[in-house]
Amino acid sequence: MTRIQHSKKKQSIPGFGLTMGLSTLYLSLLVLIPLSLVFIYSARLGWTAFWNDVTDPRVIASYKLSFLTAFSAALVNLVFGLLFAWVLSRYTFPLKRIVDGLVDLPFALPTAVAGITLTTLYSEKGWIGKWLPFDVSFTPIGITLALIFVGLPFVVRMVQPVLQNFEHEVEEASASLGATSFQTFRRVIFPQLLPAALSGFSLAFARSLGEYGSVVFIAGNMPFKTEIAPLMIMTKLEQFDYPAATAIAVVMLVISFALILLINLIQWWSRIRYASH
Amino acid sequence: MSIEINHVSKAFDSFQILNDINLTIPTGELVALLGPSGSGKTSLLRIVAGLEQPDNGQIVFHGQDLTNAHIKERQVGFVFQHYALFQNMTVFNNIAYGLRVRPRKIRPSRAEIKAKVDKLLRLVRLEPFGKRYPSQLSGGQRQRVALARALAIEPKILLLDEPFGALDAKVRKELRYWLRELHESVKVTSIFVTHDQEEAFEVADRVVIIQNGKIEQVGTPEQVYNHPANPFVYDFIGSANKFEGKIINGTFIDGSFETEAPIDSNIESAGLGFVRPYHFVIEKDRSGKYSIPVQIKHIHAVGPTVHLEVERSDSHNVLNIEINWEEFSLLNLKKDQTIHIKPKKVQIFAV
Repeated sequence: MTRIQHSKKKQSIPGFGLTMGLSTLYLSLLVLIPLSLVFIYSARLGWTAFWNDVTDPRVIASYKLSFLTAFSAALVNLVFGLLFAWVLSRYTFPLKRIVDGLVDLPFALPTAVAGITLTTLYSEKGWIGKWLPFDVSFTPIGITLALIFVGLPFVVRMVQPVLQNFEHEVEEASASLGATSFQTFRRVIFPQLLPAALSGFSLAFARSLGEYGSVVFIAGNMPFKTEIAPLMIMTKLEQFDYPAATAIAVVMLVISFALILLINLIQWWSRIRYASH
Repeated sequence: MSIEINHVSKAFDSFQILNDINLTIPTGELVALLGPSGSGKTSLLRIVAGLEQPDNGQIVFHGQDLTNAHIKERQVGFVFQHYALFQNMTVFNNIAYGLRVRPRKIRPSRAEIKAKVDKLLRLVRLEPFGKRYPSQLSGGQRQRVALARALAIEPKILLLDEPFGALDAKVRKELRYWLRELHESVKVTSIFVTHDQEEAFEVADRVVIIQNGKIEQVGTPEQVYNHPANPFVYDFIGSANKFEGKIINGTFIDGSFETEAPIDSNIESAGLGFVRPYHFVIEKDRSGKYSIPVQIKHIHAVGPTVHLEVERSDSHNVLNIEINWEEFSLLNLKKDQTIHIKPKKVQIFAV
């Protein structure tokens, strides 16, 4: 009994100290120290100035727009990412490899190129824009479109391996018990995809919140209408108002962190419901 | 419900997996499909279940042709080798699944489902585990959940694909007896696939031996074991020593060894003789042409049975012999010693 308890404490692979130390150093140099500087800079402002900067109606409008468009884009990517992952892992079709590779393209393409291309295509006289009954370029819809483009790979790449490893026998078992294919999907497959899909969602959401390059072209940047929060930060920087820029950044940071934490909690909760094997 | 398999054939590409299979299973029987891996036994089971379609032939349940029916309509319970449990559901919900997915009209009430699942949990002796997830159970427990889940829909036919194949030896043995008992109490027509002859003989009412997509023999365990239909069956159902020789005038001759052959023919033909390792008498001196001179090459004396590896003095073929410990210590056998062995029972096949 004592031996069992003892061996529990010992790790089969040594090196926890080393690996954890390196990870902490890495995270500090790349994430924690730069981000804490944001807080230090903004603290120089003093409370009143800080409050005035971050509650400026124009800035508030940009927060709302940023979170709304990022959330909508991540939601669209969640639905279509699931669909895409399904098609890619379930069926074989000609040029499948190429299609599979295309999914990653938004990662590789300079986002400004994507922004300019989308703006041209979806403008009032653009190839696609002229057929649409509503404006896309220079509206929140356009911003969402650019963010959908940027966040496309996340859900697909998170869900695809889960679907590929899904035991075919489990579906056969469900069918043998009398379930329709829709019931099998809804009750058996979908719940097992959910944690991965949520991971993809939160990654796409986080990526969209910070996206700047592609959005500035398609947004049109009209005050109170199509100005995103990262653009507000850039504007302040161009006016050499560094404290105000960091103040806006701090608010973005805190809200984003809270939201991502929330999504991770939901994900953790859905995972714990069936301790994965 | 009875099962009739009529002229079923199936090929994958150019490879013939099943070749004109005919088999009738009466209501309530527990049948084992026994064969080496790749013999087509699992394909046959999947065709009966409706998970695969035969190229030719018919599957008839109780007089009703269901060859083209979807698995959903066949009311079969299917148990997979790797359990195929729903990881996202508790044991309780796994078992209740088949009842809950029914159309509203024939779906039992919440209380009825609970009563039924509780009863099944008792049957598979997993009452305290209803709230657990499959990942929190051992292999044997998972397979019992899979069985309870299959029984929940009150299947007319129960199909088990190597149900104990992924479990360790001790758990396998326990589950074998338990499956036998379960079948006695539920009496549902069952087919189970296995490559383990011991398992098939212990559990099944009848054993069907399959090789290369063909049925080699059908019979009760006793019939198959005592009267194997051909050399393949003899060799497959237990360890065997093989003698290659010829049959002349009712005598089988292999080198200096002779024995009676129950084959009535004056024409000389090639023959195969088989002797089980425990069907030998060991003698210090030769007692005529029915015994074989051999040299002991290896003695493995652990447990109540002693295994001897001996080499024939004439053909240098290696034979395996099993004798009990008392006999072994009485004879005082040593390595490299020359002895004479006389088969008590030889099974001769003309080839």
